[in-house]
Amino acid sequence: MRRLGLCLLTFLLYAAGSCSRETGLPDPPLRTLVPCVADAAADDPLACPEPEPAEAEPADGGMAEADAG
Amino acid sequence: MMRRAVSFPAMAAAAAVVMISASAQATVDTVIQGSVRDENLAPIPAATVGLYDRRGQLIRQTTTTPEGSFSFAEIPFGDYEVRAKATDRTESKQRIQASSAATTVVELFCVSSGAVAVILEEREVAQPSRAVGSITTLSRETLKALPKGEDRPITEVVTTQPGFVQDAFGNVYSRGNHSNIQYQIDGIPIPDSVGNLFAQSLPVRLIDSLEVLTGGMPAEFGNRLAAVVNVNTRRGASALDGLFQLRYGSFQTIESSGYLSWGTGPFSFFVGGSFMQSQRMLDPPSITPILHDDGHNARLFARLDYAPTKQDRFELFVNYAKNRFQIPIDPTVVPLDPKRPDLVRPVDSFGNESPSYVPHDTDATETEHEVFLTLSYVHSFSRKGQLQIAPYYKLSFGALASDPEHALGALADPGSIVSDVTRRADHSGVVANYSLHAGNHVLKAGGQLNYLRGSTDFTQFVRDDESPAGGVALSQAGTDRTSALSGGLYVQDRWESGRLGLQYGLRFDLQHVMLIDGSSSSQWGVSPRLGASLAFLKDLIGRVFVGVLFQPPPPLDLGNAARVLGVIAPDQQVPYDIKAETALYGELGLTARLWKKLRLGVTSWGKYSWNQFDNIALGATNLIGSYNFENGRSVGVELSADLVFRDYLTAFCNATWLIAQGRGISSAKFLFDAEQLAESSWQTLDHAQTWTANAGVTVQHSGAALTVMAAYGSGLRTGPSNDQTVPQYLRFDATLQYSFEQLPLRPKVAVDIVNLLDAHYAYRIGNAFVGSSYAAPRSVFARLAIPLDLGGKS
Repeated sequence: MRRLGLCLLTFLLYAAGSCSRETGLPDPPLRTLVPCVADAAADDPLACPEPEPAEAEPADGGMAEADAG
Repeated sequence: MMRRAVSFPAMAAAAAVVMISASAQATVDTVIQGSVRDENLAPIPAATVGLYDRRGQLIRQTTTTPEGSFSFAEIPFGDYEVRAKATDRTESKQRIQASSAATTVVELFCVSSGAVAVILEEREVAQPSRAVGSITTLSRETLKALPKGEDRPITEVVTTQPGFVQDAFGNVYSRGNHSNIQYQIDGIPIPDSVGNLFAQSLPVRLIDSLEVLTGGMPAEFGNRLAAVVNVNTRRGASALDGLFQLRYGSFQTIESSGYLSWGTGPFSFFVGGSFMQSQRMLDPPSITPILHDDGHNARLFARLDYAPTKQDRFELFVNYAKNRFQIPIDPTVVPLDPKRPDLVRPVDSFGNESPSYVPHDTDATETEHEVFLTLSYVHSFSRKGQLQIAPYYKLSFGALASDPEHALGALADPGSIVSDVTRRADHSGVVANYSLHAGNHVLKAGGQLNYLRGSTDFTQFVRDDESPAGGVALSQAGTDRTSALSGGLYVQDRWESGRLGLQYGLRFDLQHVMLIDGSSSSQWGVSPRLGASLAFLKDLIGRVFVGVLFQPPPPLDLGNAARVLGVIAPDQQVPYDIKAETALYGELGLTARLWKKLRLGVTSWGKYSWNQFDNIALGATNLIGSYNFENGRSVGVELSADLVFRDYLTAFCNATWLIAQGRGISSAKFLFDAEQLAESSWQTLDHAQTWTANAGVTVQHSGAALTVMAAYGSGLRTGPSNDQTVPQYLRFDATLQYSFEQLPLRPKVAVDIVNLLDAHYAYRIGNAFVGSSYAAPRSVFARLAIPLDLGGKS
């Protein structure tokens, strides 16, 4: 009984001292903007934007096309 | 009185023998049969045999035949104790775990009062099942010993079984299938929901016993066939039984829950519920910080039983679930700079493009309500079988509120579109099953008829790119209406003779979908299924199964996805071209028990599909959209081991290897670009994880129980072409429980540590509108429970 109590206490102390890593920085890291690639294909995410926005895309999670699979 | 020592080695071993042999039975009912013998192994006629539940309540009683045999038919699967008494002889007891897929055979020995017998009642691992498919039975005791105990979602319970892969938001995949898991409560199949959280709304504390079928399903199972989770709910007993529990822990999670049950005469009830709130409701697109992920859920359930006669039984079952949560925001995405149009968002290390920026003051939310109500009537014709008729109703409601004012604000991406989408599905139906146990046969026939009335109300908002402050430039609203009538009929038989068991059946399914413009779509399929098991030795069982699996499509998911994404103009109807999946499925299995303490199993399976289903997850929501591949193929191997060591240690481990592929997108083409539609080669499905492994060990002693579990995944697919995998992970969970029986109120205390070693890993690293989702870092929860079991056991 006493050993079990000690075991429980140790477990509780460990649990109380357990907290997730928190560095203040996003994990995964921030996606800072990068220069576009002038000669990239039009469907390349790094392609430079057209002067006039051509097509709408949804903001709720991303673009209007999905990957199959 | 003269005492004499009797030595009969067979008794020592047989005292704990539970032989699980052939014969599939009703969906939740099974057959328990056996014999009562004396110290010389001679049959004892006219012995009284009682069947008791795990709380010690007598359920059935009978007497043995002149051959010393007895039988209990139409018994729900689960844990029982069989006791035999004979005049001037000692009482004999045997604890068993009865499965719905096999007859449980018990051998009991009642020695004469003048004899002295040494009976070793050592705990043993259950004998290999002679069911023809892959089936696992989990008892209530097993469920309670898991980390998080009865607060553990049912989806996390089934992912500990071989063949399952865990994804974000509690999604689970079985054997290369995307979702398509059929949940059944007391033999009644639960219709589809408009969200995918219903599985998690089934509370574990409601469960008396649970079966998981991952392959080789008998013909009685249809509709969703990736796996069947068969739930036998708890019912009230004559002793008042109850529990109140509080749980508190990481992410400011607090949950209160409880249940109460009682029974008198022909009546009994079991009621319970829970309320939980947390700052981490969905698996968010980052480990830290977690932005906009608060929410709460509530569960209420009740089961009322009324048995006016021995032949008639009524069951009223009600389950209500509510989920409300914020849609998480990805804190790693930064807004575009209008002054620097030459700057774009980078791709990640897998080549995935970044999701769009969602302003951090956006308050997008999802609210879901689920109600399931059924009244089941069961009539026993004594030796002429049993009939179950169960009408049911299910309401499934989901409302996605996008908060367009903020979501389309100044920092939102140009051209952004958001939608408010409210989905509602009303299912009304009836289930009828008839089963007959005659000689070596267990015959069963039945059917289900379901009428679905679905509606989707949506409003689409387009960002005002002309204004520096953004805002809504245009909004358009609309309504979709979809109705569907679906039904299934089946007949099956389980026949066994000696070492051989055969199971064969035929199923017919039909679905007729009616759209708002008057168009309709009808699909039907026939599914023959055949399986066999062979006992090479008593503890060495082989099995084989081949069959056709026909699955009608979910009628509502595709339209809902189109409206959430805004890929179809509001004034246009969403094309309905999703087809039923037809698959040819086969599996081989071998299970052996060694020294009655260790059970080893290996199963290999393969499937080739026409119009294979696949789903896509929509961003950081829990919504999905369905489509078809022209063909699909998958193959896998599963290894499992179960160990029992004395009375205080149980352990299990399993490993799964699988490949699942599809080729040629053949429906819902508006979700994809021309390049994806032109792709006709085999591609690995995004929910296929090559290697998955689970292990767990539980040590119990003097009211304390320690359980440690490990889960490994080689990673789901990612990358623009789904040709890469997210990093592998290894996660450990632990829980320690202790009952303070000497203290007032006899409190039970438990500490759960999820992700003990603080592994940081992703379920998903998504692209386009398949969002990223990360698992929780180390999380700690404490539970305090006060039992109210006045004479019973919880």
